[in-house]
Amino acid sequence: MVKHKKGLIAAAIIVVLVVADILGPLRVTQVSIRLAAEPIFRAGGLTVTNTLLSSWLATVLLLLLALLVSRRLVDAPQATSLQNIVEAAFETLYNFMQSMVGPKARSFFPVVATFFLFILTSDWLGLLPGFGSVGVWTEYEGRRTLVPLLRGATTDLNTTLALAMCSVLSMQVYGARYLGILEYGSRFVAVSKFVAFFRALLGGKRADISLLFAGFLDVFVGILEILDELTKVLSFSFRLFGNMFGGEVLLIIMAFLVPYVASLPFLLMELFIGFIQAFIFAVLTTSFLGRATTRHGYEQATQ
Amino acid sequence: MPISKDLIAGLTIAIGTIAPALSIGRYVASAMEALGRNPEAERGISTNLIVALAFTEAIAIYALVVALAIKFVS
Repeated sequence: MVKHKKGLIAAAIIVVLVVADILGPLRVTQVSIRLAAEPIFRAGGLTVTNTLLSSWLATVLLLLLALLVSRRLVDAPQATSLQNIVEAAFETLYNFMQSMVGPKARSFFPVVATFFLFILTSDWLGLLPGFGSVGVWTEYEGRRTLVPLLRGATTDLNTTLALAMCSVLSMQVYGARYLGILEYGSRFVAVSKFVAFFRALLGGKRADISLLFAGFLDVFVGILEILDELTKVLSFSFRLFGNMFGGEVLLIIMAFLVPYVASLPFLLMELFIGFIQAFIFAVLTTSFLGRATTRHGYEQATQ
Repeated sequence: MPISKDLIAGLTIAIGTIAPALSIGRYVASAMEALGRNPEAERGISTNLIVALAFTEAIAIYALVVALAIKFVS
């Protein structure tokens, strides 16, 4: 081949960068960072924002992946086939969940894997070229600015709030299914000690006054448990939203300050952070599901 | 120096990440120490460390979100 091939490629890249820098229109001249997602169109009563569009795109991609993989399943797939890659990823996640919650991983896996795959896809889609850069120049909020057609789904607080609510709701449903509604509800409305106290009192037997005090304490702890669930919603949604939106702001600012060059390490970092946040969401959901389906007082991890 | 929105946003994120950063440092230090004492329990230590890091990082992220909201929401 040509001598000094690597040197020629590096020189070509540098020439392209310099030329692109000289050409005015390719430079980012205006930074517009908006917290709220921008609406693209209205259909009936539904306002479709660019983040909603990209979450639909993520859903379609995941459905396509599922259809492609499940078309012809073989018992012993080849090493580089799509089935093998997907099986390896699923097996890693499943083994990790098993090490956390034991045999219950079998029933938790669909929910947790869905969260993981959707958040991972949404996070990584937001890094692709075209997301946040391809759009329409219109008058938006008083300024003439570029409204992008697609924006990472998890950079919108609405998406992450919906995911967090689904996660906490699934914890309640799993808890009620495993323990029964009465026993699971007694975690939040802990009146068993009150009932025992008043039953003993009305039955004429001597009632232990400490039972009354323990009853008050139980009710207080039950209210705290309800607050705990609500703070879970907040912390799940804000953790994911903050990481993704902060990453988006970081990438925009870096592209504005040092075009083309400084974006590279930050894109790598965003790739890593997107994966970590999806993983953390899945791991925390698993851990809380395990805790929700364990009998009160036996909150140890089953190995 | 007049107090502007930018100043408040900057101070929010600057002060808000002091405590999470210190606590993450303590977390990792104790995890390293536990790992050195008992290298066989690496799986358990790593898992717990990652989960605890996520919680602590979330607090720093709350500060970031408030700073961003102050700066970019009129």
